[in-house]
Parts: sequence; C-alpha cells; structure tokens
Amino acid sequence: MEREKRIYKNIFAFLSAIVFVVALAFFGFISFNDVDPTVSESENRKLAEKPEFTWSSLFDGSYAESFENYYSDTFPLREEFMSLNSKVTSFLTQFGGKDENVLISYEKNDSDFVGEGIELTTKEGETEKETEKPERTTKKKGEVEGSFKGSILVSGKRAMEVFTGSKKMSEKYSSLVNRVYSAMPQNVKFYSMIVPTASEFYSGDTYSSGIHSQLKVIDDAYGKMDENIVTIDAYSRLEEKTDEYIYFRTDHHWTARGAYEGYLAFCEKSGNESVDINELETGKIKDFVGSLYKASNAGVLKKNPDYVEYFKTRVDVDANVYDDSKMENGKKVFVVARAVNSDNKYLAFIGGDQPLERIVTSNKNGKKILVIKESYANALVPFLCDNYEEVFVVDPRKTEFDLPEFVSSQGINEVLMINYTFALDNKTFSEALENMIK
Amino acid sequence: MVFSSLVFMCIFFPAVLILYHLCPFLKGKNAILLVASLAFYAWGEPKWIILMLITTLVDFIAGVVIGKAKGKGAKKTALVLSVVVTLGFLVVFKYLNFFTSNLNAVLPFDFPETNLTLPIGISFYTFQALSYVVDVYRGDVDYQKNYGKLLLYVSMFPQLIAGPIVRYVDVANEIEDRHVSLPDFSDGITRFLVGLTKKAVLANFVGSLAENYLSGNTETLTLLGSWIGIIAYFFQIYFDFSGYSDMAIGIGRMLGFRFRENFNYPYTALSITDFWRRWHMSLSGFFRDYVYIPLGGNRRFQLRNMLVVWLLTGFWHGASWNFVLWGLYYFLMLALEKYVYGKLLQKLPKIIRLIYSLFIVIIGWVFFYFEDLTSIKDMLGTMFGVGDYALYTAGDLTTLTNNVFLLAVCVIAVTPLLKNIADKAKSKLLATPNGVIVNGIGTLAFQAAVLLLCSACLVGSTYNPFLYFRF
Repeated sequence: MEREKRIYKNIFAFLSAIVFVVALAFFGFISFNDVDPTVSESENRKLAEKPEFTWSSLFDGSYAESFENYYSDTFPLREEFMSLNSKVTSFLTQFGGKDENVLISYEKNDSDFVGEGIELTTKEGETEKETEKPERTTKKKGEVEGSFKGSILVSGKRAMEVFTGSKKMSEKYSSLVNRVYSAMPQNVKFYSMIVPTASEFYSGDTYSSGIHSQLKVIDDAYGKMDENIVTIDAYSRLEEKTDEYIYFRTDHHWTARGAYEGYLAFCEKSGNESVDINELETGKIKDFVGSLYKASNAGVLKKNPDYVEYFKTRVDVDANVYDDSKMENGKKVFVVARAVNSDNKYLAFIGGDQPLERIVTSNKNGKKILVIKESYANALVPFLCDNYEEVFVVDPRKTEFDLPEFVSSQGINEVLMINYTFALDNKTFSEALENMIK
Repeated sequence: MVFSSLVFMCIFFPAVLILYHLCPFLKGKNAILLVASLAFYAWGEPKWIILMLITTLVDFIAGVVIGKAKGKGAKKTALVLSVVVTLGFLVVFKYLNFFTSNLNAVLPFDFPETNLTLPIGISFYTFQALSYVVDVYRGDVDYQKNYGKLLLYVSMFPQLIAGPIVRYVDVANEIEDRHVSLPDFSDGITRFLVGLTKKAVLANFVGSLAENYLSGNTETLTLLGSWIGIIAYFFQIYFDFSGYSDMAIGIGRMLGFRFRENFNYPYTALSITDFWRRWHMSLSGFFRDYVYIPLGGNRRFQLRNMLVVWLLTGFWHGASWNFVLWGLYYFLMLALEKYVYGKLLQKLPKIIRLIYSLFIVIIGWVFFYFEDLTSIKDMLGTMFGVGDYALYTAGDLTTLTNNVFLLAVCVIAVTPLLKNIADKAKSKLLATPNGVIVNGIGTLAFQAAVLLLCSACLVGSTYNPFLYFRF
C-alpha cells in the first residue's frame, strides 16, 4: 500500500515535471522556428524586429534589451495570451468587468503632444500620404519632456479623459494669453476661445463638478484675461447640443459639428455672418477609432468606431503649408479632405497639425485672421474660410518665428487663439508659444 | 535577467533544467549551474561581472588563508583585509555618490562626482560573500578549497540578484552532494509558480495602481487617494519581493538546494517586533548574527546595538536619506515596543495588535517609497488630513470599486488562509484510498492553470518592474 502510494506519487511528480519543462521549452523552441508577425492589428502598432547581434551591443546591454522586446512582441500565440490577460485585467481592476464606468489610467507624455499632421509631398493631388507621427528632427528649444498620469473614463460606448482643474491652471493660461495679446500690434483684434471636452457633458455629475469642472476653469481663465481680449463662449452652445454628435466617442477631439458650435460663438462676438452648415456639401469618413482607444485599449470602443462627418467650404480655397514665416516651398493641403488613409481620420481637417498654414479663399474682403492653436482648432478652421480672405494657422509646437512681426508684416487684422481645456497647462505648447513672442 | 521575463521562462530556464538533469555527474551539474549563473548575470549588464569575480576571489583567498593559518593574528589579518575589500566595493559602488554629493553640499570645496551605476545584486552577493569569510573565521564551517565552488555559491542564479541572502553553511554540503527527487522537483514547480503568480498577477496590477497615485505630484493627492496609493504599494512590495523569494526557493528545490524561508506572512504580524521576525528574514538574520550579537546583543548596550543595526538596515536598502529615516523609524518603533508599551500591547485583543502593526508598517512604506523629504512630508500630511486637501474625488471612489476584486484577492493572499486550506485538503485526501491519485491530478491541474495565467499576464503586461532590483 505504502509502496504503491509512493509509486503513484512519483508518477504524478514526473508528469508535472514533464508538463512544466516541456511546456516552457516548447514555447521557447517554436518561438525560434515560427514566422514572426511584424504588426499588431489589435494594438495598431509595429512590433519589434529581431535585433542584429553584435558583440558591442551585447556588452553594453542594449542587445539584451532589444532582444527581450522583440521576444515578447513576437511571442507565439501572443494575441491569445493578450486577450486572456485583458480578461484577467478586467476581472481584477474593472469590478469583475461588470462596471458601467471604468477608469483606465494611462501615462501621457508631453512628447505625445507634439501633434500629428499629414506628411506632405510637393506634387499636387498627392497630398494624402500620411505618417503616424512625423519625426521631429530638431527639437525646439524650450521644449520640456515630461509625463503625467491621466485617467480615461469609459462609460458605455464612450471614452472621455477625466479633467482635473486647478487655480494655477487658469492663472497660467490667462497670463500666457495676456502676454501673447500684449506682444501683438496695437490695432489687432484678439479673441480667445477655450473649448471644453466631452467629459464635461457626458460623464454625469461626478466627473464634471468640483475639481473636475471645466466650466470653472474656463470662467476663471477668461476672468483673468485683459479686458480688451474678446472671450468666446463656445461652452454654452455645446452644452445645448449635447444630444447631437458634437464629440467623438473614441477620440479626444470634437467633431466638425461640435466645432461649428464654436464657430457660431465666434461669429456672434466678432460680427461675422455665419455660414449655414446645412448649405455645405457634406460626407462621412467611416471607421475612425481614435486616440482614446489607443490610450485605454477598451474593446468596446474598437467595436463601436466613430465616423468623421466633414463639411466642405462654400468658397474656393487654396491652402499651403510652410515651415516658417518665410513661407517658402509651400506644400498644398486639403482644407477639408474627403478621405484619410491614416487611422487618425481627424487629419481630414486642414491636413492635421502643420507648422504654418496659409489658406487663401475666393473672398475679396481684405480680412485676414491668424489662428494660434493645437489640434482642437483643426475642425473649426474650415468654417472660418467663409468669412475671411486669408486664414493663417500656426501651431507653435511645430515651428518658431517672430509671431508679432509676422502679424504686422502680413497685415493680419484679427488673432484667434483656440485651445481645449487639457492644453491649458501644457508646457510643450505654452513654452513653444512663449518662444514665438519673445 | 529576471525570472518574470519571457526570455528567462521559455529559453534560459528550460534549457538549464534539461541540461542540468541530463548531466549524470555532480561535477558537470555544478559546471552547468555556474556557467548558467554567470550568463544569467551578464545578460543585460555584463561589465560588472568582473566585480563579482574579484570579490569572490578575494574572499576565496581569505578563506584559504584563514583555514590554513595556524596563528590567530594571520587569521584575523586575512579576515579584516577581505572584509575591507568586500565592503569597500559595496561602499564605492553603492554609496560613494551619496557621500560625495552630501559632503559637497556641506564642505567649501567639491569632491569630483563619480557617476557609477549600481551593479545588479551587489548588496545581496556582497553579504553572501561576507558571511562565508566570517563563518570560516569563526570555525562554523570548513573553508572552500575550490574557487569555482565558492563562485557557484556566490553567483547561483536563483538567489543572485534579489535574495534571499543564503548562508554558505546552509548550502556547503549541497554544493558537494545533492539529489533531487521527483516529488522535490514537483514541489519546486509549485513553489515557483506561487511566486510567479504573486509577481506577475498581484504585484504588477496592484503596483500600477500604486504608481497611479504615488508617482505623480504629491500635492494633488486627495486624502482617500493617498491611502489607496500607499496601501496598494504595501501590497505591491510584499508580493513583489516575497514572490521573488518564492521563485528562488522553488528553483533551488528543482536543482537540489534547500534555501531557508525569507518571509513568513509578515502582514499577519501582531507587533513590529513580530513583523521583523517575518519580513526579509535572511537580511534581519544577517544583521543579527554579524552585527547585533557581535556588538553585545541584548547583554550590553542593547539600545546602541539596535540603533546601529537599524541605521545599517535602512542604509542597506539604498544610498538615500529616506532609507536612513526608514531605518530610524523602525528603530524607534522597536525601542518603544521593547521599553515602553510592549507588555501592554500583549494584553490587547489580537485584532487591535494586528491593526496597530499594519498601521505602523503602512506608514513605514511612505519613507521607503518617496526619496525626497518634501514628498514624505506632503504625503504624511495628506494621509492625516493636515493642510488644504480634498478628501476624495469621484475618481478615487470609482478606482476603489473598479479594483475591489484585486484588493480582496490581495488581502486573502497575504494570509496563510489558502495555504492552510490546501494543506488540510491534501492531508485529508492522502488518507483516502485513491487520494494520492486525486492529489496528483489536482496538483497537475493547478500547476497548468497557474502557468497559463502567469504566461498571459507576462505576455500582456506593460508594467513589470522588480522593486528589490535596485538594492
């Protein structure tokens, strides 16, 4: 009896040893004898490639690091393991996967805030070749690299970045705007528009009140601005249209329809006659899964993609992109594109984030406006074309020149600064802009 | 290399196990293990391997001299020399930056800055090498006549980079002669997988929760947020470190070594004295046997001896003032228990003692986590409602409900509950006629399921640090 037990014990121990070692070795073996995938469909990214072996990279440790990255990126059955992992994750950290509201934390780099634009070729008609993230060869001076933690609230089919405001934030921003304003030539009309994001209207009370209130920060900032700066209340108009498709659910931007509300608010304050959105030629770009999916990996977003609704300008437009104020070697770009090859369908508007863009319209009214902005303004700029002869758009993160000098030399009459609430205390943006008004 | 990497799990480890067990004789097994250990160390940071080889060589020669010398003077000289050299390396590589930058801040002139990177595992293998020389000097163990075998003891990959600190005495015989039975091997697998689960499943998830709250600006934390953050870290550091020790012990079993336990459910401690008998036992044991007792232990200058030990314990964890503060904090708590309220504490109900101990330990991790004193001050201020902080945000509450299962699993997993249930079930099973078969199938199923779970978490995780790596 005892002997029999001992034999069984040994048999099972032998089995478990075999299973363990063989399972590990099997994966190790096939990982060297399979075809490595090069892209991950589910994560939308390129996978690491097998590093080239050199003795020097082995000695400085870089070989080990890239090999480990390559190895885990191309691990056999990686997709299957990932999906099991996401089940475990949702069980442990998302209330058994049953919670309607899920907070997902993610790390945000200031370098993610450099903006994304369509890669331009000089040949006309070939403007729609894009890259994921244009590489910046030269780092602008004053650019600060930093990272912070953000959280994304996934509520039903909608994801929203959770906003947390502070007094400092509104103070920093209004003093930036004041400095930009006072650097400008005297006769220039100056407008400031701060745009709230979706969490203000779609997250319920909890994430839009108290320290999460964007309205409070916007009001604070407007209150501290120079009295000659015309502040634009995009907020109230957006608030009234929350039952319309004014924000993407999978991306942090507003839609063209949302931007149109901002445009109406601007027209009201600037005395412009607004174009009727219903008169514009329109269309849809389907299957847009945006930035919030990439940051949160929430499957519900991928299953329920957005679409980009676009509105062509009523007037004829000719848009060119330049590296700086010299405006040499312009490259043509669509103000409103009907199709976008990249995953980032938001690039449909003004070619994404470009250093300096000049749009000349068929209007002959002599009105020229400069828009200082990050990506939020991109969806709004096309509407402005209806009211101006020339629209200049500058993204301080992508270029550097003397902005006040540019305004006076181009005879620009109006300056509109548009930012969304998350950009208010963004160092990359503010320091880049500071450099342009020195 | 670390245990929780796929390269270790699927290439290195199975290759070592297969070669090792196919090799029929001990000499070959030792050679395989030694080469594997050096490769394990060199992968990722090869340059400092030379330091480990020299340290071991110095202590090997010292061992031989001490063992062969007749006179007490010669033995002592060899001991002192080897201790100075061994500790010297540690001081230079781990503490020199700290000393120069602190002295430069006070002195009118500046020492040149040295920016030496900390060689991986130096704090651990230095202590192992030291314990060898001292034990030989004390006559507790015979000196090792073979450099390779001593190097095998110092560099053995299961315990090389994050402990436990194995004593030479404990493995001296096994280096010369060891056997692995099949049940030993299977037990080793289970132990390894338990550790891997602690690390890959619990520590990583709870760690990213802690990061979310603690790695940002302490100024913006809420009261609830600060507690969620530090409690998450409290779990992370235990699962991370004890998980690593479990894996080390498990691998040791699979290779025929029996390392001593390093943790004994420290979060069930009923006093701080009790906590330190259960947490990182191989380190407290080292300081007890090689510092505290030689200084006089509790026979003379007990308070001074405790102070020295705790300053060193703190400082061992890192060349930074916060670790010194952390050591002093525990010195204070232990002294209070010894001289002030220890007796009173024992009369209190168990649950009160448990809450007291955990509370002290949680506060302790604040000193451990934050390296600068301002953050420590801010954090403690927030935790105790001093100053102008929000009590909580909606995000804090959502985070709590989102993570309720994770936290519940963590609470259960710091207690011996699951192990006790498993042990009881096993002994009952084995008493029944077919119990041995059911038990075998059960073990097999458990191992396979856990391996699958851990693999998924390792492949899928983006957050996979080892905390005790930097020590």
